[in-house]
Amino acid sequence: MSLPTNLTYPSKVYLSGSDCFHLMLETHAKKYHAGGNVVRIAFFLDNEVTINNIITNINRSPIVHWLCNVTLVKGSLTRIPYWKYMHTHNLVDIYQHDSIIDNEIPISITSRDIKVTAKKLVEFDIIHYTNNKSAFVMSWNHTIMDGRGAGMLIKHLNEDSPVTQEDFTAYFPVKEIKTPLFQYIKNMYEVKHFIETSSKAPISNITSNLTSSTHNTFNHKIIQFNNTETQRIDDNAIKNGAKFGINIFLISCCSHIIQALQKKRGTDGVLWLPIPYDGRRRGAIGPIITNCVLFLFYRILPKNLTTIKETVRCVNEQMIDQIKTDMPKKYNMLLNMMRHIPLRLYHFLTNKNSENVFASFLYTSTGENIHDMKTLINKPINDVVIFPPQTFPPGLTFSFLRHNNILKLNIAYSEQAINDEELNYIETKIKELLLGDY
Amino acid sequence: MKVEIIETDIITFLVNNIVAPNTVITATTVLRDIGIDSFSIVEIILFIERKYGVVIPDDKLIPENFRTIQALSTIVNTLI
Repeated sequence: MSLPTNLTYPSKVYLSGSDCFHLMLETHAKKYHAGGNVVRIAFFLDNEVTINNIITNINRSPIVHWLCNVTLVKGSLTRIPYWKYMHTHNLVDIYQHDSIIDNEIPISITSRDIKVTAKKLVEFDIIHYTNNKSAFVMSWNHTIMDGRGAGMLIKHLNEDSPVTQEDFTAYFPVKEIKTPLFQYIKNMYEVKHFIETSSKAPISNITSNLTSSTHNTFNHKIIQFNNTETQRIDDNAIKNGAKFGINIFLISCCSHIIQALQKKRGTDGVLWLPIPYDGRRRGAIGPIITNCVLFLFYRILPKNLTTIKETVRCVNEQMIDQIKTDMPKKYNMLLNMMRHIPLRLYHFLTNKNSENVFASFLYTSTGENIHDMKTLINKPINDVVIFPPQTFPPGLTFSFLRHNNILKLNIAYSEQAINDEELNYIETKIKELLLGDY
Repeated sequence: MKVEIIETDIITFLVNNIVAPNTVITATTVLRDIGIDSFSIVEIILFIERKYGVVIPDDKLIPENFRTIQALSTIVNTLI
């Protein structure tokens, strides 16, 4: 089936502040020869017919077409960077693979980079397993789309009805509303003060051995909890005071593990974590394009890492304070302003206060994004795995996902950040803390 | 204060600040079904604090009380 011809494709889409942050991460990655800024999501299915149907939907999707026919126009002092629609007819790449190991995602997929300068910013892979089973993998450069946007794209690919112009317009960001100058300057001072205090060095960093000359190899360790275990984790979150969902409990457990690991290394200290959350209206179908995340920042002192309950209390308090003072929106304003700054200067400014430490480690959670996605083209999805970007430093990301009431953790790590023994320690300890008897 | 007034206030807040345009919300809508997550819950709690000058005590901050606007409004009404 062909593309709809009655839609108007936006010729220019400006990068958001968060998008530009990802551009800066690419500079960062280059400096440390790190893996890259590609995110992948894999759906495991029982039925090959589903795959053929999804391929049809991919090929006729106007948003996939747009993602495969844009180029980045870099910014300057007077110009914000933007995506330019090229009016070309690049076809989307859908790679086919055979694997004899069930549920295996071949390394040829996980190691493939999609640079921000690539001609096509989204790619698909189909893996055929034995017994008619298959997997469908979507990979994209994080600069153009965040995890929530990707979830919305999958939902769009899951629909058989044609895309209307109204829906298509909603897939792209709306025009920004300018803030009055006085308010803007006041916010800048507030957020500058907040970030300088929050990220004040020294910050404990999981990557103690920063070098820019070695090649970084990234690996993934997936830990899956069953229904009973997931229920126990939910209960433990409440027992430990995580009143607003389990995320803060998960963050607290991860923080305890990193602190314990750093203690073993003799380098423990203050933890600093940027936590992204979706900045879109709830229940919206877009925007799919651009990163629409807001950030909360948690500074966790060693004295707040005595018990899980104390860490949950401390993080809860910081979350409420920041939402109360509108700090995530103000920080977003700062990111938007930073779009006018050359990338190298941006990189310098972002790193100077925390002395090159972006975060002690990274944490992401898909929340409810994938949880309710039970079928792909009317056929049940057996399992879902997300592969977060390989951001180095810090070189360690805890990526949680909940699907069909099953909690899953993907630990993405650089061999320069943690070794095998430490990985085993993290695995043992995370199970112990999440499933503990509180 | 009538529970219905609190319900209307919360619905108006959600429509103006949290949910996508055209989202249908009633007092009995399950909040999770319209995409309300933990961050949105915090925003609702802060709205209640500002609007009615009440703090929801810790023992009332349980998932059942945030399942629907009706459940939440009933709790708020007992605190005013």
